[in-house]
Amino acid sequence: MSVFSVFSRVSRKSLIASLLALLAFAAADLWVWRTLEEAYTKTRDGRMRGIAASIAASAPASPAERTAWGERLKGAERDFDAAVTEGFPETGKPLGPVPVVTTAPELVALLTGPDPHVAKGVESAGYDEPFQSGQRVTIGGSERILVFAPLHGAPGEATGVALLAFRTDASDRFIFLLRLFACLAAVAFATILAIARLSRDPVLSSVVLTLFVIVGVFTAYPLFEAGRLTLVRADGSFTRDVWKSVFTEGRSLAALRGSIQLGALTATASTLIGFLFAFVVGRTTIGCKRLLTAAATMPVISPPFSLTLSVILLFGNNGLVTQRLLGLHDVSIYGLTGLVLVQTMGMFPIAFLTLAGILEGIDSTLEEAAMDLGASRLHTFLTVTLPLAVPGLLSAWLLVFTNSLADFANPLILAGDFRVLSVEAYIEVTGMNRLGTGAALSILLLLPTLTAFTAQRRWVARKSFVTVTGKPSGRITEIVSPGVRRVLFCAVWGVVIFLAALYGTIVAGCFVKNWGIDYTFSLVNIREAFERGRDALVDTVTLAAVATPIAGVLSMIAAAILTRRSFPFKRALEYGLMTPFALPGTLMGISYILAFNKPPVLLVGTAAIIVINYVIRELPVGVEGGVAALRQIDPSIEEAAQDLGADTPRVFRDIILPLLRPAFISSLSYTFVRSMTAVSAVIFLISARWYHVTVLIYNFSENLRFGLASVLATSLIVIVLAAMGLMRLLVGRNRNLDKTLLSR
Amino acid sequence: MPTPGKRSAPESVRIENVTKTFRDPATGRENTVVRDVSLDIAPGELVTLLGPSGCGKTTTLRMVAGFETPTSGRVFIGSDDVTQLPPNKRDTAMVFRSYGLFPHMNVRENVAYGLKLRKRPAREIDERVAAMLAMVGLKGYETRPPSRLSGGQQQRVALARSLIVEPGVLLLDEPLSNLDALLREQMRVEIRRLQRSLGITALYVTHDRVEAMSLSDRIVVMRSGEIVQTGSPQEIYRNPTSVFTAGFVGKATFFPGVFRSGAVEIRGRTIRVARFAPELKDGDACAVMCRPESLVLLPPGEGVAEGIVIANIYLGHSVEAVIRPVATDGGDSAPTEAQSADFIVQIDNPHQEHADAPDGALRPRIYPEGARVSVGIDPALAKALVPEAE
Repeated sequence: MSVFSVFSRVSRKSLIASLLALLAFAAADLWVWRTLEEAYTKTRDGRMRGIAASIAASAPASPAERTAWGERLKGAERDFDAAVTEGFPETGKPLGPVPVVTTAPELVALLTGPDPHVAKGVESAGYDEPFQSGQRVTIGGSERILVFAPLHGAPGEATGVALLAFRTDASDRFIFLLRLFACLAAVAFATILAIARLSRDPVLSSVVLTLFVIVGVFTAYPLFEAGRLTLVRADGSFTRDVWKSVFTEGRSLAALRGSIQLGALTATASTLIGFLFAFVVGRTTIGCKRLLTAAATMPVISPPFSLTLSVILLFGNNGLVTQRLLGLHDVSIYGLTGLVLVQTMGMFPIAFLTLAGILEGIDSTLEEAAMDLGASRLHTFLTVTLPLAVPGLLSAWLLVFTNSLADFANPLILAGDFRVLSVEAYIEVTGMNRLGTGAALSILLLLPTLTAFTAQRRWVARKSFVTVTGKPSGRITEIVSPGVRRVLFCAVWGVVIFLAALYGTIVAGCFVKNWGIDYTFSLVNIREAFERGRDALVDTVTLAAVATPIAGVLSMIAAAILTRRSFPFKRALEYGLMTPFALPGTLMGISYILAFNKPPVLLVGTAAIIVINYVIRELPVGVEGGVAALRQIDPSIEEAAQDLGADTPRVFRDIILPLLRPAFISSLSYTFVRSMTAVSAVIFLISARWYHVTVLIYNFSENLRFGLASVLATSLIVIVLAAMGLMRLLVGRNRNLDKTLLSR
Repeated sequence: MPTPGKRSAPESVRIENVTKTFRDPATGRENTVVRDVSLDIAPGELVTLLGPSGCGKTTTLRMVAGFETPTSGRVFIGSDDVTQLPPNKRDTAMVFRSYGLFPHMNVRENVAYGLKLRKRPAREIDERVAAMLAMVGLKGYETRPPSRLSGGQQQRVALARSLIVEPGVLLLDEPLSNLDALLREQMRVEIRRLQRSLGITALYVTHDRVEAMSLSDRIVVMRSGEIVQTGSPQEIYRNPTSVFTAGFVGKATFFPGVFRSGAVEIRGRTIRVARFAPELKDGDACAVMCRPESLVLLPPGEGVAEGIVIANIYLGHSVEAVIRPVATDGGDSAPTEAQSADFIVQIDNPHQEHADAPDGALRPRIYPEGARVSVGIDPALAKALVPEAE
């Protein structure tokens, strides 16, 4: 059923009524706009005349004083240029003996020039009347309004002219906004009217339209602004300088190389460990599989910086292992090695969960058949098991690669001299205030990310992503020999124990007086961390708690509309909603501050910008889960409800939402966890009023207050685990959720 | 109906020159599924849309329900033009092929849903649901979820859920296609009984001719988006207007012949068929449609066509003999498509093995498999039709 096909046959009567309503609104709109603009121009003109009069009145009479006064005028911050002259200049003649004081030489030329408006202004001043020229002139590259005021040598008599040229950009921008809003109001009214009057399903049409507006304003517009800034100078002219400098400066290229190098190494290491885990869980009878799976899930829900933190605590300059146990002093964990270590520990779960489904799904009979035909165990593994897992391996590698490129938190602390794009972009923006370059770098980051992401989607994702439960409950025939089994066992548990040690270190860090120097037990850190971090913790939980239900409901609505309804530009909407999934957080953050630090959508500094950012970024995963769930629900269930008299919102509430409960709750907890542990985008968006704990953890780490950082990281882990546990209680074990959680 | 409150009267339905075209979003190609269909349904009537899959019958039904909007044409329920109304604003209730039961509600909640939407008082809802469940024989299943019901029970819940809102029009989209044969027969009777006793207007979609024949007041035969014939089950069966209808609504054998002013010439024999298509003109080739019960087996050479018995299918009340035609003298009539198809001859009362022949001798009624036979036509039941262009 089409939403807009609807407009086809509409009765003439309702069309006329709608047109009349539209006309009435347009008239009212026009009246409000004209009145406001009129009032504004009047105020602006009054202010300009007042300033002109006071400048004219304050000009000293003596030539020496006048010159000094002119200098002061030049130095002052103002939105106008002025020229003050004694006597009344006439066209073509040079000015009299008293020096002209001016802040812009063009004004003097203007005074003696042939412009009839200027002549009129000078004449008015001669009659002791202020004058504002209707004609604009261009001075110093910007448009000006000219105001003339009489100069009083003696009371009641005009002896000269003060010419002021006011900049118009600020007032023009105001008037532009006024017009924009007037037009938007008219368009909005027309749309609402059209939907209410002409659409067969007004609710559906409004929801579709709202989604389009959301995508337009909060995804397309910021990206456009970010792109525009890299190509446009402050005054609006086109420039290639930003990109030229990005591609010629060694730093940027080194960062690009670094990102790709780090991504490739991390992806390879993570895929290997992930395959090891998946193989042990899926293809062997080694026990404690649930524990292994849980251990592999931990890094995904733990806040950023936590693994970095513990790696520094253990292997850093004052690390427990490096310094205390081994006595090493000149080994640095900062740089590529440390980053690969931390990222691999943090991201191998992505590879694990991608591969687990595939390896578990392989039917043991295939391997049995191979061995039955005379293949050795190794040969069976190489010719049957491994080839079946190849698409999964590729997919896992690409997923980890994109994650590593987008990773911001770990390199921010641990990179040392090693450069990666996400951190470079952040430094450009916050450290050097070069927004254009920052935007360019984050766009540069998008290229490899997007390439890998698309490649992954094209290949295996379709097969593996939507696998809901699907473990064929057959028994497993092990194809490993006892010796290999022992090796696998040790390797897997080695990784688990290492992970446990990392997390143990963070917890231990909370209770130690001063890590690296004084290892005595103390609760000082905990007290101080909560004192200093309480507000940030409250903010973080509040923001996540606000964003969670919005993202949850919105994603289910979007999923329902995308699967169940057809409307024009559906594909475009789908892409628009899913795009943020592939965007690195740094790019999101930068484009948000660029787009929303000015009218018409001024949001920087508010809680709204952070919440919106959370919602937009986490929406795709919720939508994906909702779509997958809806595909398994017979559409005639919804049709039956509609047929019995339920309208669209009612069908959504009574039927779709209850049936989507698992996907809905997954989406809720996903958004909550991700919002609690966000950093890459939110670090650009926080303000004095709204802070995020992860940023505070970063600040503490930067100042080497690792104890405080550990306390905050631990409390985040506890909050997130509690939230996850609550969700598990509500929906039961859900492999799909783990998977969606890991897919970033 | 043992429920209080006013009953909405059964509504008439009028479909006026309705066409539905779908556009394939991938290729942009247009596909016309329903072409200029017009149909009137009287209040209280049960009309069946019958046709092979893909003939547009379900789309037509969904346009009456409001799930599809016609590309052109109009749909009326009663005297109201509902073409642009969404399903929830139409006085229709649909029984879906897959039932569409709400899996998160139990039987009672499923049946009560429509009344809840209509904001009936809780007490009335309870009473009416109880009455309806009793009516469809589901007393005692109130708190079961649909997943713990058998197919037939689910079907009854779906029916009860639609009937309880007392719709002006009941729409049924192949409601029995997911049931096994025995249940299907039972439910057929049940649906007919409920529809009759409630006096409800119903539009029924099926591709099963037996279902259509046994249920309907009127059958609408559809093919490739168009209506090819409308009539009572008897009319459609005995007096089809096309080879397609004849073949689709019942078993039929077609003998190629030549039309000669009210009679048909088959293989040199002239047979005065009872009915013929009005389009036929003298000398036209025609197909003589014969139902299995209007054919008899005769000794070789006595009938209009020769063949070999390839199977005798014992059905209890009758035997169906399948005769594979053989080319005989090969001279005057070249074999056609219709000729190459097997003849199906129904022999009633198969336990009587012989019939009295005109000459007083006993003739076998059933021939053993492999026997050479001839097939004779009862002209009173045959009809000459325009042959299908292949």
